[in-house]
Amino acid sequence: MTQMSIITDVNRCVGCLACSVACKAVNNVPIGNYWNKVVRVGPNPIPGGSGDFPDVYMYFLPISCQHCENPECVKVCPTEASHIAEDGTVQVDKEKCIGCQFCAMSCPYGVRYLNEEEKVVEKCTLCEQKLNQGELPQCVSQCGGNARWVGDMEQGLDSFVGSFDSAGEQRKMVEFIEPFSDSDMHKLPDVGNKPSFSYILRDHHWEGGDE
Amino acid sequence: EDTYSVVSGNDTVEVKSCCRGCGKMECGVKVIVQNGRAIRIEGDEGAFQSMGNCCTKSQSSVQAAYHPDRLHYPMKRTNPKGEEPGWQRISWDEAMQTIVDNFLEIKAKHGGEAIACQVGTSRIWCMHSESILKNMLETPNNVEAWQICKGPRHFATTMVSQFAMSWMETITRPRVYVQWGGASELSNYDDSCRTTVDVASRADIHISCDPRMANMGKEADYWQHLRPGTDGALALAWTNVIIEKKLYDDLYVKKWTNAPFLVCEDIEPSGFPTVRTDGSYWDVQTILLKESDIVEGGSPYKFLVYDNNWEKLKDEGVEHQYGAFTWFNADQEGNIDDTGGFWEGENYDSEKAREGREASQDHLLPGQTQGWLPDPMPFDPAIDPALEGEFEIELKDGKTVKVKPVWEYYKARAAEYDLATAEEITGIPASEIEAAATAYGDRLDPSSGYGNGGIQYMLAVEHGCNAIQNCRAFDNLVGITGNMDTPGGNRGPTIVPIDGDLQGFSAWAPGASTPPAEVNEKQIGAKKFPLLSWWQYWCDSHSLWTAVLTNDPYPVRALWNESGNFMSQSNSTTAWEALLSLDFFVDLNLWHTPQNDTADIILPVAHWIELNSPRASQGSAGAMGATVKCVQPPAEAKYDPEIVMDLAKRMNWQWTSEPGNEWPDINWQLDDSIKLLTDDELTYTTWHVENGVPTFERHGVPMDEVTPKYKTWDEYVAAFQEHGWWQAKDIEPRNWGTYRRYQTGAMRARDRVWARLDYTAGKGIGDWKPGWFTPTMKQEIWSTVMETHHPENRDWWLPSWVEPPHGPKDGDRIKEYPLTATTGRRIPVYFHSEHRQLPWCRELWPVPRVEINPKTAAEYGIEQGDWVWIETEWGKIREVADLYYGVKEDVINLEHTWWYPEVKDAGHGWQFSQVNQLIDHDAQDPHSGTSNLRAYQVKIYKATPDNSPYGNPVPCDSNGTPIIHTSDDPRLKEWLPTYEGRE
Amino acid sequence: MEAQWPLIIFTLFVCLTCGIFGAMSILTLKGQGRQLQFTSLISATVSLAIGGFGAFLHLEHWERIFNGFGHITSGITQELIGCVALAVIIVAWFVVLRGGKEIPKALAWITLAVAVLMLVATGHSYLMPARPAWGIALIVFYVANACLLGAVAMWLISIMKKDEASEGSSIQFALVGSVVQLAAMAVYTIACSMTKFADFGFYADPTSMTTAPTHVDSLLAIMVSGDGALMFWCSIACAVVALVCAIAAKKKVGASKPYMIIAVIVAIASSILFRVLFYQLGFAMVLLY
Ligand SMILES: Nc1nc2c(c(=O)[nH]1)N[C@H]1C(S)=C(S)[C@@H](COP(=O)(O)OP(=O)(O)OC[C@H]3O[C@@H](n4cnc5c(=O)[nH]c(N)nc54)[C@H](O)[C@@H]3O)O[C@H]1N2
Ligand SMILES: Nc1nc2c(c(=O)[nH]1)N[C@H]1C(S)=C(S)[C@@H](COP(=O)(O)OP(=O)(O)OC[C@H]3O[C@@H](n4cnc5c(=O)[nH]c(N)nc54)[C@H](O)[C@@H]3O)O[C@H]1N2
Ligand code: SF4
Ligand code: SF4
Ligand code: SF4
Ligand code: SF4
Ligand code: SF4
Ligand SMILES: [Mo]
Repeated sequence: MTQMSIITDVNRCVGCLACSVACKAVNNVPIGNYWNKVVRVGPNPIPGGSGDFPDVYMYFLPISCQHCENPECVKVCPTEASHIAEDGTVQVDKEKCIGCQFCAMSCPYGVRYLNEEEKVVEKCTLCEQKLNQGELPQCVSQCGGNARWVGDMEQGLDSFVGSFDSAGEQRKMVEFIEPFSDSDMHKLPDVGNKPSFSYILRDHHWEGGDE
Repeated sequence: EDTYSVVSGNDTVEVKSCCRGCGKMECGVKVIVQNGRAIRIEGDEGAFQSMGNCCTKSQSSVQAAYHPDRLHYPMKRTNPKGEEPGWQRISWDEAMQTIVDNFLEIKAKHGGEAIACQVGTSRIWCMHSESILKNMLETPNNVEAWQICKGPRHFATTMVSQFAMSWMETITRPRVYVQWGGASELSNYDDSCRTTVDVASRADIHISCDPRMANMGKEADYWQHLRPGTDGALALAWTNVIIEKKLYDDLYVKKWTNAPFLVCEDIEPSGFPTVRTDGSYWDVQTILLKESDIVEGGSPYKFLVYDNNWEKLKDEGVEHQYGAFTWFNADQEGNIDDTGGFWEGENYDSEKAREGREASQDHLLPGQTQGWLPDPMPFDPAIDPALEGEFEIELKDGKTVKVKPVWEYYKARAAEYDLATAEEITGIPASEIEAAATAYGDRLDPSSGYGNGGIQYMLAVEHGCNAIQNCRAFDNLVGITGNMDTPGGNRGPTIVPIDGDLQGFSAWAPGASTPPAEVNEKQIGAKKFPLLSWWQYWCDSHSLWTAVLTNDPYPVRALWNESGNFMSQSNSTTAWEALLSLDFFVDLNLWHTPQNDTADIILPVAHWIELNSPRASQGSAGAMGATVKCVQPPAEAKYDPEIVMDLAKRMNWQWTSEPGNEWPDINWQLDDSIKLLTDDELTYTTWHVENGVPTFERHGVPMDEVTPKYKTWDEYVAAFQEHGWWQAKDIEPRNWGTYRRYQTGAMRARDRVWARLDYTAGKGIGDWKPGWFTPTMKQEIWSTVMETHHPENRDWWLPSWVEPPHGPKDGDRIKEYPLTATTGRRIPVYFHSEHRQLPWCRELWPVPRVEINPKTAAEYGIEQGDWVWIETEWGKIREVADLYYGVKEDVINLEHTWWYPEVKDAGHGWQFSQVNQLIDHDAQDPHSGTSNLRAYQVKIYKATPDNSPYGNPVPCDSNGTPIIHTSDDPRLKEWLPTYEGRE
Repeated sequence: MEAQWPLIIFTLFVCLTCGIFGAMSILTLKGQGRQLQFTSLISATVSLAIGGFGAFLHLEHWERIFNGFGHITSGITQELIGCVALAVIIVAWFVVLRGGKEIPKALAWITLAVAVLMLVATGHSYLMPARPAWGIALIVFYVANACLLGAVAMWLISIMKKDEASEGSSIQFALVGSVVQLAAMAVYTIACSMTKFADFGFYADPTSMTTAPTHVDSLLAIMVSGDGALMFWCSIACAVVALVCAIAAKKKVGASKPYMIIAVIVAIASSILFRVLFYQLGFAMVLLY
């Protein structure tokens, strides 16, 4: 089994938006639509603080399709256009899609939309065209904070890799980023879809609940 | 000039290049060219200085280069100024001839000074206006973004230590990382986002000094959330903590600053001639005690200090000429004797000064050179210049007077900002100030022999009318904590033989130099700001626009603008009126902009993927590379330097002094620009001083005899493609590759092309003597430049701070204008006024935002997404509310330089949201004239149909059509690339 | 979420179709309504066609509709199958009626079952954990709504056909239908009051800075006193009026036409309004994007 996915080190994410543009640069995403948005969460008062400035914290949350293990969007798709590919990613076969948009309604994160020109639904593909060539997703390779890492969840955290260093070696997530514990690993709220993407946030309150 | 595709014979290539999507960083990028068309830009992982960073602006550059609205042809206006210009295409010949005719006419009528030049920030190939045009047109009047950006830091550091010591070697990863008034994770200011995030993440301690919670600041261990504009007070409070806790570097302070020099209140200021940036001379006048003050015929260069060790030394047989007092000789040009740069009876040897070890910073990138770290040299003989106390000394007139070391004054100044006072001024709890200052000052690894790292003091500290004094406070603070030119410390500008940055491409033209003194004397604003005549780089922009409007002090009727933007400094409304009233204005640009709506002629220029330029990191990253031409410019667009050379030729102004080659082409310039890169040993000088008697030896191959490593630009570029970015530490081991250059002499070693920027452009240039480039050859805590130019204002002689002029303490203004505005936090997808018409950028940030604390917003009935009016007595604008708990309740943050390319009216809607309409045209830093861009009081209220033109809170053009304010606006799609009309 | 009119039309007419079939089947089982059957069949057929057409409007590539049978777990596939099943039923009824025969009780039972299953399938399509407002209560609502719509439709047809026995039964159905509808609305309200949304506090989406971010603290509040209140209360009021009409008409069999007209109008109105409300409340669990 393979479950390709992306882990974002949220402490390293600075909301530079490079990933949003990177995605556009390789995926022909229409203007006004996004496969990857970076949302600012907060600043919110920190738990146990005064409830006011300066006791606040914020973080940036790059949100794209979470390539769920139990994807609702696939369950509701009448045509099997939305399907789980061999590498565990969730893909849309645009040839099959009838544009009913039920998948878009069924996604808890709102990451799917109807492409107005092609009249089919689309979303982040995890850059399957690049992954298949052994390349990195563009939002990983161009990430401003080196916050984004791609790997196979089934193979564990050791498999997660990111951009290359100045000697031409590929960076490995666990060696590169600051230490973190299991309790620092978070998911977007799960309604049974089991998102495969993870977010690492150390020392701060993860909003939105974990489950 | 061919594209790299043509040169390499490959139509589909990945071209290593140096980005200029912003120009604040030299990010290594790869331009991916397919069938001769640039299709994508990505980070170059091999570029150690930027770590493979490639931001939104760089990636969007392909949308800029192929934008349907790019200027393709020279044009002239057909409608009166103030109206939509009615641009009409003309030939290059007609355009250039019109320019020459108008310039000559205006010059004949009013003199060269009636023509002003304007240049923006960091378009390095546009800096001719500074380096060439002024000379060619015989004008001292030059509006530069530098005046509000980095210029004050360069100005202040040139005064007290060395040009641009504000630059910090972040990439060697300080243990304590201080981001002060900057957020390079978004601005990529001198260090890329990637580097910033990496450094901040790995630092033992990360300190953010920022009134806002900044994007990386969110992770800081200490957040010094000061009130905007109170940076100087906080810096002095830190200084106070560091002095009180004795966390300063005693040896450095005594040996390399003028802290032990003695202040004598009872003497008339006196001094000596010394050279300023352009090579002309001025007279230092100081009350620091010199030999000439105590003995008739004594040297005015010999500064006295009190030696705590004099008795012990005497016992050992070392006796000072003046008993307990000994001296340091600052006679850097050897006017009186040749002991300049050394102490009385000193023993020194350049090679010994280099003894030390390889630096050993943690977390460097693979292959990143550490650099050589000389051990600090103790005094020899072992004098101990007194920092504290009061001493009696007999003056030459026989009077006995009391003198005190500069340090005592500095200490007293810092003590004015004790913790309680600092808390009151800055709003940060005293305990937090103390903790942060201690964390910075207390060495985490005392065995390293240097401090925890430099201070990355950035833009914000320049915008509250304390620009120069704030920067001095930082420069000194970095110095006394032992972080000058040390690993992770403040190191100044990268030194490499190939550089396009500091002076702009065309500064390589041998004909270029600053205009003669009689021209410079006429510089507008120099009367109001006396130090401008010492600094000599920019005329005061405020005074210039006022002069255009009033003919005072004399008429200014024409303007050449090459990449500048009137909205960036001084009051925009005043500047706009001045532009409208000019007789003749020519603008070089890639776009129609608000400013060139007032031009008579506009000339189309090339985009960075369409040109070649030598590049080196401007800051301390120490990288050398190139911007490489990947595609041809569209239609008739030309490379900026080409246009300036054309102008020079048409004006019969000689470009070079080489017979037969007076007007070389770009290829010649490019080939010329790489000639100093060589395998030969570059020149240097070693000094040997025995008992105060110096001898020297020169080494290396003189400049005009070196064998260039690459014969042509194309060869250099080919090598660059192969090798990638070069490390200055490898190329210049004796200079950039070595730390503590004030000790080795390399700090004064700029004996090559950059001479012009050095403080000592006279005989002392490149003398390789230890010390700094200041009149006292020490890092000056007591600034002799300030003292001389402002003899009446003693407060300024040391670092000082005052309330920003229109801040909360400005009389009763706070009643009407209750909120303190700061401005200019960088928008990741825009570079100032640039990129508003690039779809990938605009869709991610469609409207300007005002950040406001949710509690304050609630008070005003403002919700996220509402348009808000922001007003002062000087103007009012609208921006969109962003509820942001990261600012205090009485502070708001505004975005700057907004305009709307979709608006076709004259000015393209700059009037709607451009923030510098709100500022007082007369509020300026008293030294550099820098505009008051932050820390002033404003009032706000919700924009409603009732209080907005066209009954629409959204800004509308003259037809009532709203600006693009949502990312799904179909007009954005009209801006997608077009590939027509290029060749 | 914005009201999806094609889907509103589809579900409305599916409920109507199933309601008619249901009412017909019950009458048939009761041995009533013989002369109504053909008209009802035609009405149900037309209603299904309109609904189907509505659904097609929602598809961007309706020419690929046959792909739609591709995935049995999908609500749409189930609906498609349901439509086919209903079509088969229609044909069966048609054949029987054309042969002049009585509708066999078995067919009536099957019809009833298919109608209920179709309603469940329709509701199931919207059973998305991602949208807390669209839970099981929606299935309950569709079934209830079919009862009401079927009842008033039958009431109309029986008056048209002047079949007083059926008219009486239909009024009875309408009474039950409106009570059931009100009950389903109550169930739905209770279900909504138990929903939870992910709360991120303050947040900002860079691409839509000119709109205030959505926060859903309580769906109930939105329904009862917020943006949904108009739809909610009007829809309930309509259902109550339908109930009042049915009660009042009980003693007026043979002369219930004015009540019937009002009942038909308010039943349709209530159904549409509540559907619009579904969309108004159809927030995603995570509202950041
Ligand atoms: N994307 C993008 N990048 C840019 C630019 C751009 O326009 N867009 N411009 C470039 C240029 S020319 C420059 S000069 C640099 C500037 O880049 P930086 O030096 O990083 O400066 P800013 O982003 O203006 O401000 C940084 C921080 O200063 C804080 N600040 C505001 N007022 C004060 C104050 O009074 N005191 C202190 N201590 N902090 C304050 C703000 O909250 C903000 O977080 O960015 C460069 N990079
Ligand atoms: N309120 C407030 N105001 C600020 C600031 C702030 O923080 N707050 N920041 C200030 C700072 S730090 C700076 S540096 C200034 C920036 O000030 P400027 O550099 O004056 O402003 P830009 O908006 O960058 O405008 C540059 C112009 O040059 C054009 N251009 C770009 N590339 C080229 C080229 O290669 N050739 C030619 N000929 N033209 C080119 C662009 O299209 C644009 O019209 O703004 C300042 N203004
Ligand atoms: S995130 Fe949404 S679209 Fe992506 S797999 Fe999960 S449910 Fe489907
Ligand atoms: S829109 Fe396309 S992908 Fe989505 S559910 Fe319908 S058919 Fe499947
Ligand atoms: S993985 Fe690829 S498709 Fe997905 S968001 Fe990143 S760049 Fe876009
Ligand atoms: S590029 Fe990386 S650091 Fe920048 S916003 Fe995206 S995830 Fe965050
Ligand atoms: S930060 Fe500046 S130099 Fe670096 S990639 Fe972005 S635009 Fe280019
Ligand atoms: Mo700047």
